[in-house]
Amino acid sequence: MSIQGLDHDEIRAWLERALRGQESLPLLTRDEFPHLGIVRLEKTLKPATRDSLRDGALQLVRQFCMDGRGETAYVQELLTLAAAFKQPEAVQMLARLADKFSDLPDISTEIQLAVLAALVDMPPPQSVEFWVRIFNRDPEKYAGLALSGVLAINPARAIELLPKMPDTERAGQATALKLDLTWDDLRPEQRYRFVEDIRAVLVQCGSYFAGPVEAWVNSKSKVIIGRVKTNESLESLGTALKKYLGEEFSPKVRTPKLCPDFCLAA
Amino acid sequence: MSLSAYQQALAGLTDHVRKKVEDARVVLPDQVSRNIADETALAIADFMSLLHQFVVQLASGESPRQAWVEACRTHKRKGCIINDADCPEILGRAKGLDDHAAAIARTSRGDLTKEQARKLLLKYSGSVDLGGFETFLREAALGSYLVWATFDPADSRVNPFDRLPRTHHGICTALGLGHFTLSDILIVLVWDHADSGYPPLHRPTVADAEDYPYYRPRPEIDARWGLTEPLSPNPDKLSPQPEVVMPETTSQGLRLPFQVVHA
Repeated sequence: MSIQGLDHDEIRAWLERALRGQESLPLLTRDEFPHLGIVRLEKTLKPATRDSLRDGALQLVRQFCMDGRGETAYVQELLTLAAAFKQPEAVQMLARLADKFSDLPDISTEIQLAVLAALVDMPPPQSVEFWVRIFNRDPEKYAGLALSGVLAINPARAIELLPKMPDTERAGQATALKLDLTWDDLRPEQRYRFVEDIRAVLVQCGSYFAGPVEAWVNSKSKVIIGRVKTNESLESLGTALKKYLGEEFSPKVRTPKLCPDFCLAA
Repeated sequence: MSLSAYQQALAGLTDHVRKKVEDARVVLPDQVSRNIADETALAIADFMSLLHQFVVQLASGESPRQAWVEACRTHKRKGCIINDADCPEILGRAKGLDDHAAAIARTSRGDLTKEQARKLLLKYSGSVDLGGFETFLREAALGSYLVWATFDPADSRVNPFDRLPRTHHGICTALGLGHFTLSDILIVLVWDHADSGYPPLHRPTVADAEDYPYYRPRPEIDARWGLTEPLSPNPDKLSPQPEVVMPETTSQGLRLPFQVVHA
């Protein structure tokens, strides 16, 4: 299982075989995807071998990006490995390839989706313009990943794409999940506006798509209203305590940690 | 003393093939070589076919290890099938969180990325209300190509993980999942055999295990399922767990909640 002692070219050849499941790897379970065994192995390598392995991965990505060809399973493994290694050069190459998809009709849809999924998961993120360009090329095919790409960098712009999403319940379900993950990452004071902006565009969306998204919007509205009520109750309690105990016992500073959504009540 | 299954299979091969097998077996990793010699779950005809294929792959220029793996891949699920009446009702397995996230992402065909699936698995661990995530979770395969599963032999209607430690280390130890590191997060999946469409359950063989070094052939020839070998050291003296293999199956029969177990 050791690749210590192999030269640069040998490591690249080993990596290609390993990604195809043809090399022994430290797998947690017998059916684990090969890239995970490679990542586990990489952590045990000496710096020089690790550098060769990472460089080998980059070379394989470069080779793939020349024409976008390869067995689907191999390419999926390679791109997931590249995402795990977080190499900026790989991101640039994949972004250039994605921009050329229309000139490369032989690339299967599965591989195109794997390229875009890797770009969503890999830093640095692509621009909104990049993702909108991809989205507009074929919304039926790319909308889900393009929306993910925009959501990661500019949620407000992503909301503008919702009316153009494919009108299917599945697209709506996936979108609701992504909006939920975005909500988790937003600061509390941004959440109300985010939800209300989504609610505002729902009327322009297809009904199948809008169903799951609307259900998510309603669930989040309840959360916000619940927190506002809690904050109002805390406010009333504070006022009552102040009356009962006198001014000197009233809090001098409002602690944001205790009522993070308070500003929404204002 | 009676011949082992391996010796019987070897005896059925020509001198030339037998020598090739023996020469190549000794250069395989020690444990894999021992597993081949100790195998009991393969019928002799299947064992002969496996060894013959091993030699064919060697002749094509592959390394002994790769030749062995390729031969194994043409001899999957050759262990005895558990009768329908004796099939466990509830089965389970543990796997890496990242592995399952990748499986969900691939079956979602662009609806979710691996990182999104990973975050959702973490978010919904322990929950029975998954909302829209349930659609994507149930479409994903329980494992790739071949699913290794365990069950509770005392009462196969209950969650097999109920009797195992709840810790990452304890689960890996009991199931014999080597190579784990502290950065690996586990996901425990438990499913209903009937709701999964009754995929056939087989006793595992050395061909199912390929070159996985933590597999151990069960010595009893007539056993209906295999047993794990708990990892060493095993401070809690966890007993070997039953193991079976089944074809790749979606998570249609998955029982909720699933559990994510941190190291």
